[in-house]
Amino acid sequence: MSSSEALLDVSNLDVTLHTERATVRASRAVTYSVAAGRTLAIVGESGSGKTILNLAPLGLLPPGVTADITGEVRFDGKLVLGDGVNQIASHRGKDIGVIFQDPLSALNPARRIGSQIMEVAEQHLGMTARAASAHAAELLKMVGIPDPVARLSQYPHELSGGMRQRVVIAAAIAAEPKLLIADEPTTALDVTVQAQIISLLRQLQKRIGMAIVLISHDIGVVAGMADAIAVMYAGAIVEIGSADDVLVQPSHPYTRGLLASVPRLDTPLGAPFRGLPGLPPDLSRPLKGCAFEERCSVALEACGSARPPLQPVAGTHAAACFANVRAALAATR
Amino acid sequence: MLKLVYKRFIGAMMLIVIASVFCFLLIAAFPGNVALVIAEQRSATVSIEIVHQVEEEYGLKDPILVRYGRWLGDTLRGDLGRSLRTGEPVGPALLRRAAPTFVLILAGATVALTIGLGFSLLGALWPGGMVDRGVRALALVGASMPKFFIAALLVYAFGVLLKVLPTYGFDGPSSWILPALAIGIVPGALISRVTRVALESAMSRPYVTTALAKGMSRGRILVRDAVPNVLPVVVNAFGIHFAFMVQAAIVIEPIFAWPGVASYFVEAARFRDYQVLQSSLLLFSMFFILVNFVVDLIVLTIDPKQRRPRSA
Amino acid sequence: MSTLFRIARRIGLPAVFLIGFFVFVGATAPWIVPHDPTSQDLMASNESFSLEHPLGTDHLGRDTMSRLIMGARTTLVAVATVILFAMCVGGLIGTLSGYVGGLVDEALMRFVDFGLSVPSMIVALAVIGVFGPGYWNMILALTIAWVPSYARLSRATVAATVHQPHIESLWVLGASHPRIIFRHLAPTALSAILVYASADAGVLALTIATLSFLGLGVQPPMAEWGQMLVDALPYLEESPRQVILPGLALTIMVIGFNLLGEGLALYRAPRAIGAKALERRRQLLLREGEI
Repeated sequence: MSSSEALLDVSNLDVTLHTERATVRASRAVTYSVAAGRTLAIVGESGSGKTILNLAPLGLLPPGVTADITGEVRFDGKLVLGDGVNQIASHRGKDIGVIFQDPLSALNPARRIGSQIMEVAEQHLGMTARAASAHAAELLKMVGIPDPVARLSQYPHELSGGMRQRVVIAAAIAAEPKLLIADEPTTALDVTVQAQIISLLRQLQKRIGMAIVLISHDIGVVAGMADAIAVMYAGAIVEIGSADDVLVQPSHPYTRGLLASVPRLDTPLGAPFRGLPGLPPDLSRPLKGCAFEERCSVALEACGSARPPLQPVAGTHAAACFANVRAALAATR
Repeated sequence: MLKLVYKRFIGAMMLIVIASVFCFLLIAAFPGNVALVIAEQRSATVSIEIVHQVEEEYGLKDPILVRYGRWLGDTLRGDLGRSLRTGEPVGPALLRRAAPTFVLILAGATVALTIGLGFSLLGALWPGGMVDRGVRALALVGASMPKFFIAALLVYAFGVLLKVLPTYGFDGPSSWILPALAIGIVPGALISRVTRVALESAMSRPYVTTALAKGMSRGRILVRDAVPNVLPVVVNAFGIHFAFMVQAAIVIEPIFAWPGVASYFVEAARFRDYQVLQSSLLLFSMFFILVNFVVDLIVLTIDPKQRRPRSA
Repeated sequence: MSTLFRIARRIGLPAVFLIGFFVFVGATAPWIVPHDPTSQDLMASNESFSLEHPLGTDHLGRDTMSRLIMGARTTLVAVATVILFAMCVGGLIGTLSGYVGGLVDEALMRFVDFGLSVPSMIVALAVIGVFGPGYWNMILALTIAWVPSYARLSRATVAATVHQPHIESLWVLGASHPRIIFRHLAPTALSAILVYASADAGVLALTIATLSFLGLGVQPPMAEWGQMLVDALPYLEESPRQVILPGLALTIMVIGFNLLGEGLALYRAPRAIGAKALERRRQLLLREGEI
């Protein structure tokens, strides 16, 4: 995952959000990259900053929120954010597609499905209305919607939740983007539909060859799809590495907690549910030490006073935990 | 859809019945009063005998239901009685005076719609910018001005200072301009304020974020995403203000010496001409109920959720 | 003090300043007028600005400034009276309707619907047509015209709260109907009504002026802006000032009410951060440094 071959290269990204009531440091010194055609999953609890991190540089924050963004983002080898440059917005819809959590609110209730997909093709591929309409029908077929031509003239409320999310996906990939950002694409859907949407995303990725940033609070959902995983806690990446490394050898106590809370088939019936106790810290207040310290079972004295940096565990696998460093030191001795 | 239309229609019919009861009761609930006023208008010196004679003549002593039935029957046959003041039949007079009022309201509605849509879209295009702030301030002032003041300013500016437009009479299109502006500016400002708020709330919805993510420009999103969603609000606001222009006509018509129904009504209120008051009130009520009904129908047809049922 | 200022700033300083100004002028009017607003001086009619008459005189030689000041009092008193009456009657009807529900609700709301579908000034004019013009008849007429909107509003709030758990539990605890209505439901409705009333006051002020403009509202010798304007209309060419001043006064007052209503309605709404506060926050973050 060196930056030379990466499609998306994010380094030292800080996002601070200001509203009238509070200032929140939504992300701090976040660094990651995504290779072309691969999938990076960003996992964390809600409020960990994983969504803001991706939407803020794209200029997709709700109105009324002022964002201060520092750091650098390179896309396709070009500097698009940082050093006085801010051009990510110009890639929206064309090279970067986005799909959202709730397909019902993401679609315009007063417009036909067809026109909501067609406009992407018209805008970015320079298609005529007629060509765009044919293209939209093809896309609907591609995302697995039966009778696509008839669907074009329907309204979002006439479809089921899973179908709506397929429409949102069709609109997002209409211009064949190089990168697809999927923000909790399955959270609002029925469990049975979730797996269908994930497998649809994998199919489309193969077909179009796009990279995917998959944002989820559910490490179980991303496990089957991600090539790499970044775990976020309280606005910072606490562990990052290939999916195998992170899932098999979780090196941050938070990651271990997340994995332990995923229900497993081999858990005996009636065993107590093992979630993570406690709540994440308030990001509108200054943090002294490790953000996870209060909930951590292996916390050391140092954790209360200093913030652990991201340290390599092995190869590209890294974690931000003092306890790890000590364990590694002990092992080498 | 048809069921909804049917329901609205029944509702409108019920409102018309209530309106007729209200118009009747307003006058009939004060029997002594009515006879006295009619007697007063008949002779300079009012005696008990004349009052009794009037009560006899108008059947004011009959039970109230009988009187309501008689009044309703007469009204349905088109007999609206005679003006207490001038003695002329009310029905034909109302008919004759309806045309100028209708012209005034239509012309005013055109002004109102132009201002309302123009201002709100202009402001929403660059929210927070100079244009937006200017347009908002104008709309606030416009919505806060009394219509008779606007009329006076227009007369002063175009009639007295510039001397370019006629300031009174119902005499061809050039005489329509000032009254239309006087009656249309306030509702225009009100519509623009309502629409602006609705557009702003539409522009903060998730589907706008989606459209931005698809790479659409703000202007395009405003027109293609926000406008379809605020259309019901605009139609509703426009309908209300369209109906309420009858009310505005009450001040505008006298100022511009406009021979419409509204000035007829206000004359009736001034001279307590019950017959005219009652009939024109009924006419107005039916107009409001009709406009409301039509607006409901339009909103039903532009709301996609009503147009077609969800296919399972 | 600073709390009051913060509240005022959140509502909007222009609104608070404008309404505060008019309320002050209205309250102190009899003591601050430079001249008797009703005393005529036909020798000095339609005069322009002078030291003696800072805003000139009208066609009967009455001092315009004094009449404008008294006009503020007339309008504010009439507006407050009508709102108070309409709020009480409408609030009661609405609360009852929402609380009892069923047929009573259905019947009351049909009449309210009708009242709402007819513009309030037409209703008011019809009532004045029956009872004749005059100050108290105008108040009565406007109250009748304004009751439906307050009834509708309080019914909506009551109907929304009456089935909430904390009210239903009172019911179970055996609280009496009047107690539930007056101690628990009415206060909830009141705050919604007050927000509505502040914006509505502008509409009411305009209607009062319009009725007086038509000669059917406030009667002479009371000074009122709409009446001042209609009196001056025949002299529009010689002294437009006499038309413009009362119109302007009314417009500014209504702007104040509109801004006040907006400010109150959005009082709790989240807002974007202001430029100054943003700068302060950024400085604060810099000082905290990387922790």
